[in-house]
Amino acid sequence: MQRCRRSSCTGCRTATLQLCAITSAPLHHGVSICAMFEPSQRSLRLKRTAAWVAIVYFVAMAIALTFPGIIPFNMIRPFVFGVPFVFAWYIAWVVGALCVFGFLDKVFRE
Amino acid sequence: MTDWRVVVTVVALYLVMNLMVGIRAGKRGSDTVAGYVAGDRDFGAIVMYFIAGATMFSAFAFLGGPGWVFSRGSAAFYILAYSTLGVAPYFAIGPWAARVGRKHGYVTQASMLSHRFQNRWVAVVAGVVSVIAIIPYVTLQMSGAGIVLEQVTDGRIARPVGAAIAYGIVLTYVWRSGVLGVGWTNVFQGVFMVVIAWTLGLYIPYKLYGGIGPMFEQLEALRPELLTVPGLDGSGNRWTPVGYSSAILISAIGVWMWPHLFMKAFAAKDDNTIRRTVVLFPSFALFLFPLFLVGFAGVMYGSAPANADAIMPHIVLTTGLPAIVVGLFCAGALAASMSTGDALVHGAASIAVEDVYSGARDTKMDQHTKRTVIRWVAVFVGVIAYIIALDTELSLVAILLLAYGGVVQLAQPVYAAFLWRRATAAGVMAGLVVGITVTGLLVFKPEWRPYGLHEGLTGLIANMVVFVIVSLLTQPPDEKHVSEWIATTRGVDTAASTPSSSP
Repeated sequence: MQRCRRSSCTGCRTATLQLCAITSAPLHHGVSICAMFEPSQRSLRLKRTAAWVAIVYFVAMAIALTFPGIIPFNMIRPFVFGVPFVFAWYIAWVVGALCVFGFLDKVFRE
Repeated sequence: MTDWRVVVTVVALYLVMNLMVGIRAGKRGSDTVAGYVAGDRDFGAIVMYFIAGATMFSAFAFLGGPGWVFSRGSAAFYILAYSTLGVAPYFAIGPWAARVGRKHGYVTQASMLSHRFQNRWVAVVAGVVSVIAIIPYVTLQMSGAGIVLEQVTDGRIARPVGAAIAYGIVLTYVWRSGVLGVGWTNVFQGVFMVVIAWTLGLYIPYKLYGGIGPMFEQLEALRPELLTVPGLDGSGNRWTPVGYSSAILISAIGVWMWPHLFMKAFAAKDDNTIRRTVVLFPSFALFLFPLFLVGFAGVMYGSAPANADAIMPHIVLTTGLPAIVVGLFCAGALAASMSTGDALVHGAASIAVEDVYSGARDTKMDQHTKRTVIRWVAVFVGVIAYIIALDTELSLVAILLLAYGGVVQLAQPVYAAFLWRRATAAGVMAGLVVGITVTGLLVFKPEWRPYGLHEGLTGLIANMVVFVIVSLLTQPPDEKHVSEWIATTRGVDTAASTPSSSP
């Protein structure tokens, strides 16, 4: 359980909390008070960064693998490890997703 | 002993092992609905990983994937794209659902929605949509099992008999062990199918064409149109970019909305287990790579089966592989079919009883009775899907895309439950009814699809518009309930909180 540690703060104990969309920590009058929660501020910054990296990666992936984003990469040559370029392009994004998920797991593991 | 007898012996051994694993697994569970449906919320990372991977990559991947590559070329790449894209949101939503599930005791997705929107009819509508979407998916798995057994025995085991044998075993361990049987057989089946897929996928191009590179060089000269997306459509013409892209989107949005997958958030031991499942999931998607290679190998193969979905067993049977290898392949394909079919049958039965029946009648059954009723409904779902499987002529991937059109409608209430406080029960139900109606209409009138968009995506857009309008026009939900519910999803304990006015 996360608890606000600032003694002067009472807002986060109300039943009508608003929540930060990225870190899931409560917002105090619309202002993020993530930094007041355990774990440390640095860890939370890292979580926020990791979440944004993942969001950017998967949006880019959706664009790169559908039309019209795929058009510049939709070619047979050059072959990559023996397979057509566009096939390798799809595989590369899946492998990249594994790496991004690995980073997320490292950051978010409790 | 002839070759097909060796094949049948290997398959029979595999099926017996499967049955033993499935039945033994059930001895660990409690005699409660939570034990039967959610495994007493005690699944670790390995079981969760194989449940997710083996459940998602089913007969459609093992047979339909090569079948699509063989008949439609790169069109099948859409599976690679959606299976990875679709799993990403679950990294956040999975733990959110698990937290409220642990607190309020949900075992199904529809019961979660019902409590969030404080209306039991939401569970009934969502449950009906879930069961409608699941039945064609079970049908697909049964057809896959029937195709494999028919092909490898050269027609001696007819497709209906093959499907009946495989799913008789599935229903036995689902009856006995519930989700524990599903989970532990999925571990066994998952390992089996991955090993078989990689072995055959790398071996067949080497055996037929001297390697992967030489195979694609020959294919480039003969059929270059198969090597770039969007590939071909069902009638052999170039698939439209809109059709291809909307198939990716609809499947990516819908993939974790499958109740039998979503429900596993309630079975996981903790949040880290769910995240770890998501993290490792793309490694399962990579097993499509060797399967696609087999499909491409089939394009230039001297002979072709009558049904494109049978290309993989056709090649395996006619390339002179030892009978024991053919038997192992057959077992791998059955593993792919059964590992998904069991979760589907179990999920549909749980939802039909827990949400549709209990929600509509507003009655409480005791745990033992409910467990028994779920078992009988699982058998009933299996029989219905079997009857449909006997009569369908659609390809495996086409059946799957059809089922996605239905299940994707659940995305709107699920995302809204976590992210939009103003959403109301009336909005959810109106949206679901409109979404499923539009999707169904476009299935029967494909010429009405705007710009060739997938019918499920068109249905989802209609669903969202109606959902937002009706939600805004109806009375807002109880603010305190919604706040507490959402706070629980984010891991904030509001039980200790005291309501107070804003300072």
